[in-house]
Amino acid sequence: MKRQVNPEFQPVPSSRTKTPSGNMAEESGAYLWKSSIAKTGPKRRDQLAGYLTISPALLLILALTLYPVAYSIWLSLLEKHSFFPQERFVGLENYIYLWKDPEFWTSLWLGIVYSGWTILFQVVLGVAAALILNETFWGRGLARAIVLFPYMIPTIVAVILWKWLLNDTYGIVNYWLMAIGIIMDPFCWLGADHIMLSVILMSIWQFFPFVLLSILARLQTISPELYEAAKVDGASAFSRFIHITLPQIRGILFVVILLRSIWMFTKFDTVWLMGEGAGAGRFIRTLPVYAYMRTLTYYQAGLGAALAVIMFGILVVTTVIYFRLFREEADIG
Amino acid sequence: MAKVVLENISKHFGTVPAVRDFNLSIEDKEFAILVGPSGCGKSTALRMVAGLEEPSGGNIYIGNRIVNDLPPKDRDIAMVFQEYALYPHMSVYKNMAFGLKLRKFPKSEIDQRVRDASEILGIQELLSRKPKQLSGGQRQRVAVGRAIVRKPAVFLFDEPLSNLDAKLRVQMRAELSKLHDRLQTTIIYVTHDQVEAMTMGSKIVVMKDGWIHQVGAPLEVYNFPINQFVAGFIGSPVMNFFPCRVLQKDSRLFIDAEAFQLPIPEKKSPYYQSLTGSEAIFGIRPNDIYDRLHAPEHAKGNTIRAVVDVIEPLGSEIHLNVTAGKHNLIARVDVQTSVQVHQEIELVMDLNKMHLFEKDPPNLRVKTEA
Repeated sequence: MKRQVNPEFQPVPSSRTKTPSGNMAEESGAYLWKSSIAKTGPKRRDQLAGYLTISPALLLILALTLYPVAYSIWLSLLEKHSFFPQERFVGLENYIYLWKDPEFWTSLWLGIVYSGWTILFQVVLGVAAALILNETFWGRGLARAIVLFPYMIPTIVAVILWKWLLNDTYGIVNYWLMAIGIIMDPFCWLGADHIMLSVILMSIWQFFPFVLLSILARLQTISPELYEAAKVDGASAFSRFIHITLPQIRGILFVVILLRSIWMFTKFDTVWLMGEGAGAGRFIRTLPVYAYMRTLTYYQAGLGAALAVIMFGILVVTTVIYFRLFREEADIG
Repeated sequence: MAKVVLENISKHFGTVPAVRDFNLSIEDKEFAILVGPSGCGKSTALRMVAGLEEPSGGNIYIGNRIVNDLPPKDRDIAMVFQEYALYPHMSVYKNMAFGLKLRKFPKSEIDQRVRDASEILGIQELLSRKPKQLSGGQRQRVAVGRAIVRKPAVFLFDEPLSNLDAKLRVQMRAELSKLHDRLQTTIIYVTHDQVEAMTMGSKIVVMKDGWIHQVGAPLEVYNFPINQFVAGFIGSPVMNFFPCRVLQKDSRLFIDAEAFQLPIPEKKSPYYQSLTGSEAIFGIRPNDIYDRLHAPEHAKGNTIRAVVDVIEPLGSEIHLNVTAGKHNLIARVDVQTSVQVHQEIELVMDLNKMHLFEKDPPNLRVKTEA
């Protein structure tokens, strides 16, 4: 940062600071000496006032973010019952147990499958829908409002709704698919083979409006002149998307993908509610669900905390890599 | 090389007419300027030539082709936009090369053209920069560069200087004129600034409310405005207008403006004869009003008294806002004029330069030339 010209930094025009001409070193020394004396007192007070004013926010961050993280890490080193005051320090034993636990590896894999597909299609669908809703057509305002519904419906309502729709005996999805001849026999949407597909489809439906909304907001700020200039330059609709739209939404896309990745990887409610009572729940038992079960079904708080810490670690590492890979976008975003 | 013709062009946005009954022929290599206040339809007319708006009726010809149904890229035009519309993520070089690349020009040809254009515009040093690292004037040059590398038949400029500061605007005005001289290509240029229209155009088209009011060479429009709107729009400071009555005394015609009477010069009298006894609007430009003490010989004799309200000394001239009777006038007087606010001053008008406009809309000017 460039130093501002501050009256305090000006050499004081007194006979003391005057030195024989040519003696630059001494002159500049006097200059610095004067300025540092002038600086110390008020600067200290300014700093103190600064710290005081940010302290409420700082305390809140410490209490609500750093403390829970630190406590989770501590918990993961204990063998601890979730409710009774029984605990024992076991060091890394919980982690070693999980390393050898096939259930852990399955849930990690299911979590990656679930978040990978949902993020991919949320983004594709969200961007596509945003592009459509950015065009001018009759009823656009209404369409923009309706398309946000999935994101606003409470998860419990959405899941119950989808379970009805997808029910293999009375669900309307099977009915329609059979009516138009895509399938011959009812499809077991919530069975072991397809429950992952179902929860992925449902999650894409539920969360793509977030991507849509963010991208649409950015699209609306792109100057129409850019598209007109490109039209005059001879760019087709596709090359206008590649050369104008895409570079313009890159920054926001970076942020949206980051947020959606974190949220989908730690998504609990949708997956849990979808799997609960369906019988095939263990085929969508992702890491957050597994951590919940360890803590509140088996009451192994230490093991549950270890799972949470592992998730945290995975997210930190991928986020850092992500920022490294897309440094330019991070700057724009 | 292309002549541009707009034939019976109209354009409605919903029920709102933007351009009406527009007929204009722009010759090859002409520098045509569409000028008018905001909302007069000048930009819409330009955008129809570009192919960015579709006319509601009529035909547009570029060269000898009807281009109504051609997309912008096939019209052999290039356009410079008001906000420059540079692609923000591309370097200056890529911005200029983009159109050529899409048209699959060989790399060496693209390079040659970009370098030539950047040399003409003096932006060789900027080729690797991004638009956001450029000043307004530099961006403007790049936008012009992007247009000239294409070597189009027609250049379209949509208020290209309106985002520049006053000093740069004057400089760019001269540069664009030079550029036109050098490229020898048809230019259609839209502006709301009558100074740009007067200084750059070889043909100016004055528009209002979607209508063309007058088409002509700059001085023709300045000296012989067709109606009161054109007279007031072209020229700065604005022409003075006030209502009057034409009187005949003995065999001479007079302007009666209540507070004062002015004799109409004899060579103009025949043209105004028919107005005798009726009301009209008198118009005279501020530079045809003089301080009596510094007036040239030919203007002397028609003295009016006025009270000075505001004095604007511009260094090379003085603008006086004065009140004569109940009329407010602006006079552009000699710098040596010494006068103070609230003081009375004697002004003379060069009535050979006067105009009379019909009182009823469309306020046509009464013609005084053959």
